[in-house]
Amino acid sequence: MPEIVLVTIPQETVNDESVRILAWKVASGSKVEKDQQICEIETSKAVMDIEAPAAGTVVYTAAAGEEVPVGSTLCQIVPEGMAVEAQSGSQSLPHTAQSLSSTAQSLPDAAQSLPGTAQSVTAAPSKAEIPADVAVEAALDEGDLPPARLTPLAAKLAAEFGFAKESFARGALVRKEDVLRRAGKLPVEPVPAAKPVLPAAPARPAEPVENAPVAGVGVVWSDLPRRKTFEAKILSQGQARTIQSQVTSSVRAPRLRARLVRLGLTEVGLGALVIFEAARLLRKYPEFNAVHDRGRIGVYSDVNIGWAVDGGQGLMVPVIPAADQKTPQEIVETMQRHIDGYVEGKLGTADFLGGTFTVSDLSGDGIGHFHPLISQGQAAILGVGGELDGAGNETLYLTLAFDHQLAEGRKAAQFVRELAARLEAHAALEPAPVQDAPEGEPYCALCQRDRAAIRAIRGMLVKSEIPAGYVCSVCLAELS
Amino acid sequence: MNYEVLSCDSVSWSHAFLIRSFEERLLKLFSEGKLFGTVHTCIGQEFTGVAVASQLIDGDLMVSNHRCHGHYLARTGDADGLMAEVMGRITGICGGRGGSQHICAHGVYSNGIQGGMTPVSAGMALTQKLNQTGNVVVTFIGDGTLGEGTLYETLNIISKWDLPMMIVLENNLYAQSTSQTLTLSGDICARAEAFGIDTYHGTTANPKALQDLMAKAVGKMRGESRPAFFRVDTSRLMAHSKGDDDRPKDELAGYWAQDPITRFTQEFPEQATKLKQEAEALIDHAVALATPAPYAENGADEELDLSAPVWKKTVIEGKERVVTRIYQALKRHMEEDKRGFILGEDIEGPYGGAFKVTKDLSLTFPGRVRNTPISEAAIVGIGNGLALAGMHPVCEIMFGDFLTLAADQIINHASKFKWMYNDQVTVPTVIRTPMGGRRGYGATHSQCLEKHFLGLPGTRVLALNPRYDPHLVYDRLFATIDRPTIVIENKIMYGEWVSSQTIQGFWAEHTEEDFPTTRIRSSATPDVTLVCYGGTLTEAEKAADKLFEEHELIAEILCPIQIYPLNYRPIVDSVRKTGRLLVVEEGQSFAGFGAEVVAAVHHALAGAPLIAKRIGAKPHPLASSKAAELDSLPGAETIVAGVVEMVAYA
Repeated sequence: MPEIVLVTIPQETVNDESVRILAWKVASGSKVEKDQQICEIETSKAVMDIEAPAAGTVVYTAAAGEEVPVGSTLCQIVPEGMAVEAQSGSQSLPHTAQSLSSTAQSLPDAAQSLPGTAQSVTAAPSKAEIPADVAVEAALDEGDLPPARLTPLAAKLAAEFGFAKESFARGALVRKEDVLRRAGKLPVEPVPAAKPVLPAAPARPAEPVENAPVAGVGVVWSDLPRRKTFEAKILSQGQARTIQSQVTSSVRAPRLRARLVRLGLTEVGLGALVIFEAARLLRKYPEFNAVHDRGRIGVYSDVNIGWAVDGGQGLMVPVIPAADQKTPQEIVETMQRHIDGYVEGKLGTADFLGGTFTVSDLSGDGIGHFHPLISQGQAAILGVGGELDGAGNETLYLTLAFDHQLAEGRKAAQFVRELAARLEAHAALEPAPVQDAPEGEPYCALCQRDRAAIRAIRGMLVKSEIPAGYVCSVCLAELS
Repeated sequence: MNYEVLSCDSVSWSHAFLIRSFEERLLKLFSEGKLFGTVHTCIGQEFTGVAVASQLIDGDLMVSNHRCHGHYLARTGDADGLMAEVMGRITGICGGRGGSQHICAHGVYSNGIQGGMTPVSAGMALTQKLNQTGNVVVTFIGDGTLGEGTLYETLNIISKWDLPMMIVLENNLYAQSTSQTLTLSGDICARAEAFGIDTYHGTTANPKALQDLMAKAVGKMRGESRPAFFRVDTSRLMAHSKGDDDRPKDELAGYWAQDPITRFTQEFPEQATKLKQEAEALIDHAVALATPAPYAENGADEELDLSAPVWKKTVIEGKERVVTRIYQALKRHMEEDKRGFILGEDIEGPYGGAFKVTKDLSLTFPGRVRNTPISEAAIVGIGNGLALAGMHPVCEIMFGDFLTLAADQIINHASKFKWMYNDQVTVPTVIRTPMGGRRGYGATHSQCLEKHFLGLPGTRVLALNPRYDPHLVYDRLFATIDRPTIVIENKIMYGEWVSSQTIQGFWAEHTEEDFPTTRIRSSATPDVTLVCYGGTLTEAEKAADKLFEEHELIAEILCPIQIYPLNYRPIVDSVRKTGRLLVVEEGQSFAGFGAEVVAAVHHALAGAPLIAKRIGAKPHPLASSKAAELDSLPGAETIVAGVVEMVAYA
C-alpha cells in the first residue's frame, strides 16, 4: 500500500543541531520525480542538495531562510492517488520516515544552557518524545472562514487608502502593517511573525531604567509629553543598534544663499538643495542608505529622506519619498506641504513612514557643529550647520554621523567632501558681484585664496569673466 | 472445661489451624528476611474469619483490611496463592503487586486504609440488591476503625438503603499500640444500633457459639436484605505488625489462655497434632512453590500518544444550554446501559440537583438515580463498590470544593485497585462536579481544586468547555469507560449556550480524539499560544479579542478537554509557531496544570527559544464580595497584560 514518505533533515556534521533552508526548488504541492532536487540546505560546513526519495507530490510548510532541527521532517512526499489534505475518519496517516543519511537522528536532546543561568537545563530523553510527524489541518473552504476582521487602527488606515472592508479576503485578520503593505508602503515580503530570540546578555528590561537625581538638591518632577518618550524610543533604538562615528566638512560656498534666492527657492531652499544632492549621492554611497542587522547590511531600494522640522510644536521628521528622483523644486514643494501639515497639526502616519536617511538643518539657527543622532532602522544622518563670521560671511558645515558597522571614516569623508563639492558647485554658478579688477593682490573669486596660497598648492590664477576677476586652477578644475 | 465451645466442625478447625500455621510461618520468614514490608498477623483471631466463611455461599463477597490473611484463607483455603503474594512473587494472587494488605481474589478484597473499604462494600452490596442476586457482602473492621468517619457514613447509608451488608468488628482492644480505653467513648454496638442496624455480639473464645450466632445473623441479613453489625471479641496474640508489641506479659498470658487453638491443643492433643501437621505440610508446599518463583514486575506503563493530530472544524448543531446537553447525555447513558446508576446529593426530581443537571432522571429511572445523605466519601466509595461489582456509576459531587471529602476514595481506592490487584478489576467510576467562582459563593464554594487530583496514574480528568458539545464528551466517556474519571464542569458554564461560534475573525476546531483539544484560531500566523481549560476558555476568548482589537496581536487558544493524562502535542505544535506560551488556570498555579504544561513543552522543544508564563488565581482564598473575588481571578485583562509583557520581552 503506498505510503506518505517523510523526508528528514540528515545529520551531516557532528556539530550541527540544525540547518538552514537556503531555497526551495519546487513549490509545495507540486509533483516531483524520484531524485529530483527539491531543496537546498546550508550546514555549518557546506551547501547541500536534498533530492526527493520517491515520486509524488511534495508538501512542506517550512520557508526558505528558516532554521530546521536535524532529524526533523523537512517535507512529505505524498504518493500518486493519495489526497493531499485531511483524511476523514479517526485513523492517523500511515507513513514511513525515510532519512537521506544513514545517521538520521530524532530531535536532539542536547544539554542547552539558558543564557544568564549558571546551570544547564538538560532535556533528559524519555519515552514521551514528540514524533517527527506533521499535523493534518482541517480542510476549510471559503465558506468555513469568517469574514475579514480589521483592528480599529487598520480600519482607519484602510479608509485613508480607500480599501473597502469587503476587499479583504475571508478569514483575514488585518493589522496596520497589512494595510500599509497593501498600499505599497512596506517591503513586499511580509516580515515573518517576530520570533523571540533569547538575548545573549540579560535582557533589556521592558520597563525604563531608573536614573537617580543628584542627592541633596530639590527636584520638581513632571511628566514628559508622550511624543518625547516616543522619540526617545526611536532614538535609543538607533543609538543601541549602531556604532557611531562622525565626520565634518566645511563648505566654501559664500554665495550659496544668494544662488538659492536667484533660483526662487524659499527659506527651505538650502535644505532642499542639500537633500537634492545628498539623495542622489546616496546612490553612489549605498552604505549610508542602509541598515545593519546581525552581521548583514540591508541596502534600501528607495532613498526616502526624512528631514527634521521643529517650529516650536515639537521635533518631527516627515519623509520625502524617492528624494533622488525629485527636482529641487519638487523637494521644496514637498517640504512646504510638510510645513503646512506641521503647522496645522495634520501630518498623518504615512508622512513619517519609510525614511531611510535623515537630514537635520540647524544652520538657520546659527549653529555650526552638533551631534545628530541616527534614527531607528537607519545607518546615517546628515547635520547641516552654519556660522557667520564677523563680516557676515557664512560658512556651512556638513556633519555626517554614520554607523561604523557599515562604513568607515574614509568613506564618510568622501561622502561629505563630495557633497560639499556639489554645493560649492551650485554656489559657483552664482556670479560674483561685478567689481573692478581689484587693487593689490589678485585672488581667486571662488575660494578667496591669494596668489601666495595658490602658489603653495601648485595652482595658478586665471583671469575670469564669470565670475569676474580671477579663478584659481583648483576651483576651475572643480567647476568642470 | 466446656468442650462444647470447641465443638466446631472439622473443616472449621482445619481452616483455623491452617491460618495459625500460615501466620506463624510468615513471622518466621520475616525474621529470615524473606518478606517485604511488614506482616499484620491475625494470630488469635482466626475464628472470626472461619465463622464468617462458614456462612457464605457462592457469589458472596468478603472485604477486609490490612489484617486480611485469616479472612482470605478461611474463605478460599488458598495458601499457595496468598503465600506467593506475601512473598512478592509474580505467581501471587495479585502478581506480587498487592502484597500482604492489598489482595483481591475469589471474591475477597482488601485495602490498607482504615474504614476505606466500608463504603466500597456498601456499593458492592447495593449491586447485589439492584441485580437481585441474593448475595451478601461481609466487611471486616477492627475496634480501631471506630475512629474513622467513613464508617459512620456507611452505617447510615446501609441502614437507610436496606443493603445486605454485614460489618464484622474484630474487637481485640487495641489499635496498633493504643489501648481502646484511651480512644473509645461510648459503646461499640450502640453505635450501630443508633443507625437502626441489628447488632450481634460474640467471641472467638467460644468458637461454636460464635459460629451459631453468625449463621443466624447472616441468615437474617440474606433473608430480609437488611444490614447487620457483628462485634467479635477476640485477642490479637502477636504484635500489630511484626515486632512492635509493648503490652505487659501477664496481659498477653491472659489472652493466650483464652485462645481456642491453644485450648484445643491442650484438650485434644492428638487431633491438634494431626491438624497442625496437615497445616504445616500445606504451608511448606506453599513456601516451596513460592520460593523459586520470579518476583513481581511492574509491567509497561501506559504511554502517551503524541502523534500528529488531525484537526476538524467544530460545528455544534442546535441551540441548548450546557446543562441541558449534560442532562441529555446522562439520560442516554441510563437508557442504553442498564448498569448505569447515578448517586449524589439533592439529585432526585423534581428538585433535580443543585444546578438542575439531573432534573427528572430519578422519575424516568426509578431506583437508579438516588439521593444520598451528605456523605461525599461514601458517595464516591459506594461508586467504587458499584464499579468493582460491574456497574457504571456516576457520582455527583455537588460543589467541586467538596471533592476533598472524597479524596481518600479517589486517591487510595479508585485509582489504585486496578494496578494493585494486577489488572483483575476495572473501576469505571465517573465523578462529576462543578468548579469555578465568579458567583460570590465565597471561599469554600468557589474554588478550582482539580489540580489536587491531577496526576493519579490510572485515572482520567476531563474538563468540559463551551466550544465542544458536552453531550459528545459524555457519550464518548460512557462508551469507553474503563477507569475512574473525574469530569470537571463549571457553574457559570451550565447556563451558557453550547456554541461553536467564537470571537469575530476566529473559528473553533478540535482534534479527532475521544476527548479532543479545542483550538480557537485564525488564518494568520499567531504571535502567542494561550492554553487554558474549562470555564477559563471564555476569558481567554475575550482576551484574544482584546489582543487583536487593541494591540494588534494574534493569539491561538488551545483548550484540552482531557487535562490528565495530557496530550500536549497540539500545544507544542502551536508553540513552535509562536515561541510564546501563556497558560492560564482559575485555580492556584503553584505545582498546577500550568507548571506541567510549561515543563512538557520546554522539554519537547529541546532547546528552541521559549518564553513561557503562567497565570493563576491570586494566592489567597476567594472573597464573597464581588469586586474582590473578580480581582483574585485571572480574567481577560490579566491575560492581555501577560501577553503584552511577553511580547515586549523579546
